[in-house]
Amino acid sequence: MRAFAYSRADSVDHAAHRITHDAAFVAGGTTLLDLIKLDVLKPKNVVDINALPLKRVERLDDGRLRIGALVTNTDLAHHPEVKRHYPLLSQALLAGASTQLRNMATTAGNVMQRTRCPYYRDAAAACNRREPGSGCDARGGLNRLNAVLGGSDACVAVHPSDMCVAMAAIGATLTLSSADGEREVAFGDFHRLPGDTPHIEHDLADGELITAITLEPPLAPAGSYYLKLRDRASYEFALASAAAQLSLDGEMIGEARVALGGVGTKPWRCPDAEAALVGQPAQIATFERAAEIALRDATPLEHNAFKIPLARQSIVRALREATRLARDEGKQEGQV
Amino acid sequence: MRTLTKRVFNTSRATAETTAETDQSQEAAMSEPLLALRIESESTGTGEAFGRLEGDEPVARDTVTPRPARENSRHAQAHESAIKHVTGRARYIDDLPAPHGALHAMVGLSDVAHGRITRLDLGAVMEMPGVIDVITAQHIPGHRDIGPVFPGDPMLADEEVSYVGQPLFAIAATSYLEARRAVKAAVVEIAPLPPRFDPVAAADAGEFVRPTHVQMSGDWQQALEHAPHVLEAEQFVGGQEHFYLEGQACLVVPGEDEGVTVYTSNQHPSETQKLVAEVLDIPFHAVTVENRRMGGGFGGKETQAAPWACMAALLARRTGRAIRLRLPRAEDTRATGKRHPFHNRYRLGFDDEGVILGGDMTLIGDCGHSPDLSEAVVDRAMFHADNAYSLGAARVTGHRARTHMASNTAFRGFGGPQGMMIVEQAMDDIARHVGEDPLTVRKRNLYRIGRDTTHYGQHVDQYPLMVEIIERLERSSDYWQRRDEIRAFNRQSAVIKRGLALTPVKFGISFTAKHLNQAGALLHVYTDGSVMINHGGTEMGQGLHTKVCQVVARELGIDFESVRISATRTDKVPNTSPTAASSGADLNGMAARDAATQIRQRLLDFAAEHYQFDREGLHLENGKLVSDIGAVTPAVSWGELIQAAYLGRVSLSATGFYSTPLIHYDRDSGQGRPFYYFAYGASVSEVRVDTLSGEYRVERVDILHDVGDSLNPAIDLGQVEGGFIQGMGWLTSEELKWNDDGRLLTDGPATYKIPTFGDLPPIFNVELLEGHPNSQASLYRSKAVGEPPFMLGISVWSALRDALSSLTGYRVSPPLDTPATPERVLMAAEALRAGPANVGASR
Repeated sequence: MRAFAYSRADSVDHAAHRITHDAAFVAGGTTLLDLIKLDVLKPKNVVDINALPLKRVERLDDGRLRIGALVTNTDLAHHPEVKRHYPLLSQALLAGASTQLRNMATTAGNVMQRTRCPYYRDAAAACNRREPGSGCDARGGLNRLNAVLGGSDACVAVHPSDMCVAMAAIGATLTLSSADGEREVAFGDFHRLPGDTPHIEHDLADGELITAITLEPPLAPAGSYYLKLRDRASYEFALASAAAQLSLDGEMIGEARVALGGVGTKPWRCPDAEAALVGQPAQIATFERAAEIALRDATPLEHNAFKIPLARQSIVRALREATRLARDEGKQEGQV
Repeated sequence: MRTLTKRVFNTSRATAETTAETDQSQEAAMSEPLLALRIESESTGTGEAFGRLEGDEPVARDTVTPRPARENSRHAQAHESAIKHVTGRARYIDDLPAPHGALHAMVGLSDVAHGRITRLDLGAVMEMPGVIDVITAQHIPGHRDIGPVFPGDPMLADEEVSYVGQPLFAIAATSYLEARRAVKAAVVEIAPLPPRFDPVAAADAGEFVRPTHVQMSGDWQQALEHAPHVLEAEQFVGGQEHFYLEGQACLVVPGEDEGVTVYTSNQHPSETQKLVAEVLDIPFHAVTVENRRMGGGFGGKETQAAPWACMAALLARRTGRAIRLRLPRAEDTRATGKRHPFHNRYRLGFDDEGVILGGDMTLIGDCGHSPDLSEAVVDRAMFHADNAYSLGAARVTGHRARTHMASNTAFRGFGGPQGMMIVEQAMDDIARHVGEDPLTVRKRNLYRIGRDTTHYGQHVDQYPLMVEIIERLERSSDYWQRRDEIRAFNRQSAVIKRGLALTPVKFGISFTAKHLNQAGALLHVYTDGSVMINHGGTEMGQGLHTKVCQVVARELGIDFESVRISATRTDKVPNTSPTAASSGADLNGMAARDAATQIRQRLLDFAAEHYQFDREGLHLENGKLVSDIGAVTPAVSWGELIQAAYLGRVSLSATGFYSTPLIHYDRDSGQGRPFYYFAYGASVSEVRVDTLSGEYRVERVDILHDVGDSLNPAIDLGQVEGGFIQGMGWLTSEELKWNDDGRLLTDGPATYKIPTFGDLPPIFNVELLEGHPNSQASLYRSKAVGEPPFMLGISVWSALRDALSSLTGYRVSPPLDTPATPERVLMAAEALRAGPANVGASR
């Protein structure tokens, strides 16, 4: 464990002022403290933001749902608004980590969580994300768990979050606060592809703090499903996961949203696949075509080629379930 | 006497069922008084049980105290460190504060499986920031070979390397990260030699780490010739990574003389003391080894914790500074041995009823590059090739194949599980062949009158217990009703198939190396009445220290809190055996009991004289001196008695000792009584298999397990549950994969899958068999519990085969190597669908 200065922020302004390039915010601490112990992150100052008033979930007048940055994963997954209008998000949250971790982990912390690439987490390995210019041991190493979408020569690390996959599919906006005021960033633009600068993971600038995430209004009537495929039944990251959400217009697909986890270097929304679904009959052949398109640009590494068919299959299965649920929903609405 | 300890996870439905089952099984048990009576009289046999045992071996002291104090030790006392474990206050090796200036050691490992070192240039390593010292084999002043039993394990490779992950050199640097980075600067050139990874090919070529051993009972060839039916098959049983949560770690502090103090996560402190002394070329008394607790051992720290202590000790003596050595998980996993993978074959003859008449079994253990403990591991596999069944006239052959892998080592069960797998496969295969349910065939083959001697000549005296356990479990799990339901379900369901299996466990208790069956203890009573006990066993989470404290409290008639246990140290109790072979409590509990008994006798002798009481009838109970003959007045408390004894110049310190009686084994004839007794158990598992994807779930498990008179039912239940889950993991999800160069690809939790909480069967009923004390004079008639439950996991594998067999109308017994991953299950299903001609096992 390395030494750092610890302080507690009592307002958003106060917190934002303290953050420089060698400082870090701590909320649940479920990623940060591990990485400090592993010598991967070495902040000189750690600013505790747990006292900030960012723990509310509120429905806005325009139908969107605003989630405070410090709402825990457990509270969010079980929040009545989320369970009722965003079951996809609830499912994704509950598929991640363990109860103990979800009790501590926060919404913004989940957005900010670091990759689980073993070479990133091993301070003695070469990793461009951790140490720019040092190389990438994953490319020639044990890369079964690495990305098949969005990778570059510099980095093939997977974004590990389940929650973010659901948010990518639902559509959301992040509110970032700093001394200069607030700005908003679309969820899909927040995480960056690694390119030549994998160490720049997101759009958050020094001195900025995520204060809220606002979800787009739910599709209705719609079905949604989060399917997570992994090596064992619990406490495990995804090999591939798919978040699917669609509305039906009779037997035809109205709107559709698809995002992937476990295979991309960021939470992976699939707009081309979505376009291939809209207006088409809700049947397996359509889903398979969309899945094909979603993985069109996938590039396997030595040990992870299996992820490509696995991800395709997860899309098909998630869409199939979402369709079934959308039909049920439609029937219920019809009866009312 | 027949009340059951029942544990139910999950739903109200399960709870309701359980209540019904309990009633049913009690009722059923009572309807069979004859069987129960027979077992009772055999197992508690009054004459032998309470006296001293006869025999030419050292004997236990009076073994059973028929006193009500018994309740005290039966209490489900919480683990002595439970609160410390959950609050994080329990200290493991890496938590220990190191002296100022301590250095971090790191080890350079071979990337080549087999070859000759042509260049080992560490000049650049020395130049790296923070590096203080570098050692190779040339720097070792004493023994370079640290093979624990037989030679073959160089501390650092000298000329030849024998596996990927073999230590080549070690360094000390001022920080952990500097040490890890510096290791990478080494220039290593190894001229490759052809590696050998296939143990079967090694056995064919006669490449063994130890000579082949054979056990024989009767004329097996004639039995095969005359048998109405003969089947043969082979199987591959995979290895297993120990996955102790605390990895290999030690802290070595140089002393003022030539020696060192070694703090190590270690199941065998005495052996590490010996090896460190031999490497440093100093007397054993210059080395002290200490361990308070391990974060798991499972056998992986029996011999393979020592090398790291030896390297750190050498660096500590050379630099004069304390050395910390903690291997990163991936390197720990590559450098250390695992459970032995086995290739097994059987050729067995049986009658129309499926009862085995005799035959031939061959077990090939993949030992890796050196002997380590493989002689005894393959022996134990051979000793368990019968599991709970009489093999008739049989030959069992065990080979110890040498491959260019890390040296495989002890792991919970120590070869026993791998040996049992072949006969359990045979049971399923025979059942399909004769058209019976596998449980029927298993029951017909159990040891019984006239068939009560193993293929290595040991009489199985408690065989009726196995029968009773199976019959009770049959009823409590509704085996036959569920069998009918499942058959009906499978007829209706084309893709999803359910499977059910009941498998027994009979596991021999004792080290098969006879001299290891001894233990020592050291007990002090201080003048405030508090008691300190120390013994040769190590705590790895299994609750040994808790049980030993309970023993001392019971013998001295005081409460548990008055007894404290301290770290295991070689300068307190010397020349100890490893904490292994499930024998920790059996041996060390007896030694502690011996010490406590001596103190008690001294105190009672003193009290009789000092207070003028009748010595006859005096004893210690509930913290007081008590007499069976009249009242002790005025009352004498434990504290007062100790004060008085101290002033009366009575020694309040004692050493205890124990050695297991009766055991012997002659390797030349392959006959003897290697085990003091057997522990029994059985489990029923139900699975649901998607035969188009191979994916499956374990839906329900029922276990009934024999621990004799439990020393601590809470701890024992934990051991049974944990053992089952670990056994299930071994046979299902825990897959070790190496690439073609012999490099382990599954070197961490990201790729090597131990079961987690979500893999627990949703219905998991675990019971301890009550009312059946050990027939041998073990510690309060308890039985060892560490390893035996591990093999209960075999029922999951057998249930998977059962589900697969339904694809053929239960006519074909599908081969299913382990671990039976969804991939292997799918392949087996595909082979069955393609037709029996594509199925290799059964003919």
